[in-house]
Amino acid sequence: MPANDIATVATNAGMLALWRSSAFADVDGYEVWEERVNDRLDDAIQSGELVPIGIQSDGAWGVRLAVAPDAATEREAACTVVTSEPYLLLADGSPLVLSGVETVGDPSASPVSLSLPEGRYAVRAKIIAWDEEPGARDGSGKRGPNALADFLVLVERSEGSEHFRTSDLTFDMPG
Amino acid sequence: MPPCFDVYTWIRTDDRPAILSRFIERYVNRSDPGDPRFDAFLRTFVEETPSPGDAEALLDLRRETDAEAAFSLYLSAERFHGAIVTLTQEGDTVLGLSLDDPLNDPKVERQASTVLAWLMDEFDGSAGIGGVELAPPQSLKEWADNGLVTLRAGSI
Repeated sequence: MPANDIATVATNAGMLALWRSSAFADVDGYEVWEERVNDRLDDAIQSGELVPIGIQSDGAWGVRLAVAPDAATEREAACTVVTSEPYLLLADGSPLVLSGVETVGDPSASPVSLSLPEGRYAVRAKIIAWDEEPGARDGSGKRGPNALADFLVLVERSEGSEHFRTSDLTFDMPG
Repeated sequence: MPPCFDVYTWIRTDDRPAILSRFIERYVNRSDPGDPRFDAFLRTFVEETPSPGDAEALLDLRRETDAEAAFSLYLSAERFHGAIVTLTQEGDTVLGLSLDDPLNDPKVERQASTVLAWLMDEFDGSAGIGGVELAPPQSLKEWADNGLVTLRAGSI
């Protein structure tokens, strides 16, 4: 998998988000962000406006976004630690944007966007233990050029029978 | 006064009156701005029609009497603890907001990070900084050297 498929997405709010730009087009400042995103996060998730990739940790993360028929590669599948339950994403043809949750509403702050045909999609996130692969780190111990992403986000058409997750915690805690 | 977490963005603009006007409209409690020199500031830097005595009133805002141009105006804010407008020695503008942080709560720093990101976006700020009880930088040197800065974004 080419490394340039992996985007670096940062958050200082403990959560990345894949969001539909049309749903947050009126967000033009902090106060509106608080009203439209922070104060109604549960509603936004439930209604398919926003998919949280909630990791409760700040930082810059490598993310690969894969739209079906693209799927996890063999390497990614072998290194998958956990896969989330599906989240609902309602596409209306407007750009879908991946960013830190703190910049939902500001597409210019995001390194990743895509467009999907109108419809209902199921989105699953995977945590990838990229550092468990031999050779994933370079000589200095940093992430090597061919290392996998931290997260793989899979988007596919909804089958219509999924039970969609609504928690802002994307992954169930072990135990 | 309880501790605050302060965030600032550095703005270079050819239309300072418009930037200041928008910031004041959005964030400043105009019915009770908290500083008697607010009207002089408005007339001088937003409306650009100063009245006699305004320049003298604003001179008092300088941190040091020999500072050539830099000063900060601390104002009451809507929804925030305070709003701070600074005109720097370089002729640029620094806009700031203060968030109440009486318990030094990590959640406030996260909130401040989001506030800073949006403040930079709203006013096309090239850089941003934040920290607890952070005084507004009045020069590039103060911007770069401040040891209390815990948030930094962008560059000037």
